[in-house]
Amino acid sequence: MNPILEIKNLHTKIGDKEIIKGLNLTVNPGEVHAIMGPNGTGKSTLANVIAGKDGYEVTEGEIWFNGKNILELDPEERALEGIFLGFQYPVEIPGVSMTNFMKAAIDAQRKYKGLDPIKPGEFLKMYREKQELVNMPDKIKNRSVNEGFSGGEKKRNEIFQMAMLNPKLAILDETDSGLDIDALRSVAEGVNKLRSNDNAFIVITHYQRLLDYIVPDIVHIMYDGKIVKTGDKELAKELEAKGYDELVASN
Amino acid sequence: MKLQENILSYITQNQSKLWQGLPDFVTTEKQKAFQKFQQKGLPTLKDEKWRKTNLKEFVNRYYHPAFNEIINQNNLIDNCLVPDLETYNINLVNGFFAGKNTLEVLNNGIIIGSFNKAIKSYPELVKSYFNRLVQNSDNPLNDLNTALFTDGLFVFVPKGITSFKLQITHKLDAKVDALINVRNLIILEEHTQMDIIQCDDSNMHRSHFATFVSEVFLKEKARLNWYKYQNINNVSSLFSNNFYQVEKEAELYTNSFEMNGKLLRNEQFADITGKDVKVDLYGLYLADKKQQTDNVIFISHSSEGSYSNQKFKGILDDSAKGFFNGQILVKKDAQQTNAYQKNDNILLTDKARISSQPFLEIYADDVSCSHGSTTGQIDEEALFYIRQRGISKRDAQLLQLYAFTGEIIETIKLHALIEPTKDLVKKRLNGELDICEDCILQCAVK
Repeated sequence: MNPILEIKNLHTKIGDKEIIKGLNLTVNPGEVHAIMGPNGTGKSTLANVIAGKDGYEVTEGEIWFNGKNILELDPEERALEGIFLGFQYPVEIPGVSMTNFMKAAIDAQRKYKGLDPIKPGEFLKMYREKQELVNMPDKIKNRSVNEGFSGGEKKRNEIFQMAMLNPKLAILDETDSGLDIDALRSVAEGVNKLRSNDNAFIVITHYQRLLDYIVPDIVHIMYDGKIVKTGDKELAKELEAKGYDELVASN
Repeated sequence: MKLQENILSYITQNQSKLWQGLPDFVTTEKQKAFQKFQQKGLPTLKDEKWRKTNLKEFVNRYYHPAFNEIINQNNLIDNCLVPDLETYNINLVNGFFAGKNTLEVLNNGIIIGSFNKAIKSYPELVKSYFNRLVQNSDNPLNDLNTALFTDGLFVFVPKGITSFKLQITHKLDAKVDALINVRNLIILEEHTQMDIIQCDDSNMHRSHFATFVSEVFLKEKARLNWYKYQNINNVSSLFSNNFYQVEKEAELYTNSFEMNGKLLRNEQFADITGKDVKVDLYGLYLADKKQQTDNVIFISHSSEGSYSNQKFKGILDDSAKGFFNGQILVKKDAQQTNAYQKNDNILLTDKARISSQPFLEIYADDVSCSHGSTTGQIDEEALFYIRQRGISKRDAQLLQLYAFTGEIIETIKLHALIEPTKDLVKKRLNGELDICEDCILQCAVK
C-alpha cells in the first residue's frame, strides 16, 4: 500500500523565522491522524504548506502526495490532485454565492479529469445530497460564501465543501475551535460519514474533545516545529491528563 | 495647444456660416459660450477638477471639426444592447441625428428626434429650457459644446406618458480624427416615465475628441432611468456631461458602465429643486492599459425631504487611472435631506491609480449624510481560499472581481438589461471585450 502523504524532513520558514524544523509524517489510505500541540508550534503552518499557500519558504525536505512531489505545484493543482484544507478561519467572499462557488470548484475538478461541466440538474441533486449529509441548512446556498455565517455555520460549511469535493486527503485545521458541543458533534458526524478506505484525514486540534467524536488511528504531538511523540488514540487522553509540558518534558 | 487654436480660428472664420438659420436665442447662447471659451480655454492640470486628468495627448492633435454630416446611413443599427426589448431606437453619429424620421410626433404626443430640427420647429418650447442648466457650468468643455454643437437628440414626453423606452446608439465613426459635439435636450413633463439605454460606441481606430452634453428636466413625479454603456476605442476621449433639474417627487436613476476608452469622463449635475425627490446615481468603471475614467458628480439639495445616493465602483488594471470627485451640497432650507456617497476601488497593479475625492457641504441642521471611499487590492486570503478549492488563480481573481461589480449591476431595474450587462462585464474582466472593426457592443453581446 502506497502512502497518500509522505513528508520527509520538512523545514519551513516565514520570513527569517524557521517554523517547521525537520518534520516527518506518513499518512496511509483509510487513516485518520490527529496532530495536537500548543499554540505556535507550527500546526497551521504545516497545513498551509501542504496546501501550497504563498508566503512560506520550504528550505529543506520533501512532500509527496500520491507518489508525486507537490512542492512545485500551485494551490489549485494540489487541490485538484485531491488535497482539501478545512480552514481554521474560513474566508468571507462577498458577492460569490455558495452555489456558484461550488459549481466553479466542481467544474474545475471535472475539467482536470477531462470531463464536461456538470449539468445543472445533476449539480443541484448532488448539492442537496451533501447538504443533508452534513446537516447544512438549505437557506445558506443562496448566500455569499461564509458572509454573515455564524462560527458553527462556517465550520460546517467547510465540511460541506469537503463532501462536495470528495478529496483523497482532508486536512482539518482546528475545525473544532469556537464550536459548541452540538456543532462539534455534527461536524464530526459529517467527517465520519465521509471516512473510507481510500481517503485519509489529518485533524489538527488543541483538545482531546473533538477526538471523542472523530476517533483517530494515530495521534501526533507537535512541539516547536517537530513531531515529538506519536501514538494511538490513548496518547490524546494521556495528553489531556498530563498537559503538554509534562508530556514534552518526559520525551 | 493646437486643438484650442484650431477651434478658435475655425469659429472666428466660420461664425456666420456655422450659426446661420438658427433662432436668435440659440445664437446668443452660442456667442456667449464662445466668448467664455475664448477666455478660459481648454481645461488644464491647474484647474481644480482637472488636476488628475491630463489632456495633453488630445490638445496637441489636429481634430477635424465635424460640422458637416459625415454619416454612412448603411452603418446604422437598430439597437445597441438589447435586441429583444421593444424600444424606440435612435442613432447619433458624429454629432448628428441619423435616420429617416429626423423629428416626429408619436401618437401619444411624444416629440422625438433631431435637436437641430426641434430648435427650428419648436423654438418656443426649446427656448424655455435650452442652456438653462449648462450656462453657469465652470467646465469649458460645456462652453465648447454650446458654441459648436449642430445637432443631437430632442425628447419631449408630455404629461401622463409612463411607458417610453429609448435606445440611443451614439457612435464616433468619422474617417478622420474628429472633434464631435452632441447636444441633447430631454423634457419629462409631470407624471411621466422613461427608460434610456445608451451605448457610446466607436468603430474606427481614429482618435476622436467628443463632448456629449445633455440637459434633462424632470417635472413633478417624472421618473427617468438612464443606463449608459461606454465602449470606445483606445485612442479617443469622450466627455459626457449630464445636467438634471429634478422637481417635486420626481425620481432619477442613472447607471453608467464605463467599459473602455482612452479617456472617459462623466460629469453629472443634479439640481434637486422640489420636495421628496429621489436621485440614485450608480457607476462601474473598468479600465486597463493606459486608460483613464473620471466621474465627477455634483448634487445640490435646495428643497427639503429629498434623498440622493451616489455609488461608484471601479477596477483599475495596468497603468490605468481613475478620478472620482463627488460633491453633495445641502442648502439651508433642505432639511430632512438624506444624502449618501460611496466610492470603492480595486487596484490590480502598483501602477494603477485612483484619486477619490468626496465632498460634503451642509448648511441645514437636520440631515443625514454620509460619504466614504475605499481602495484596496485583491483579497489574498480569499484568493487562496478559492484556489484551494481547485479554481485557477485567474478564475479565482475573476470571481472576486465579478463579485465586486455585483452591487452595481444588481441595481438595474430593467430586467432585460441584467443578463447582457453581466455578460458585458464578464467579458470585459476576462479581456475578451476589445475593439472590433464594426461595433464593439454588438460583438460583445453575440
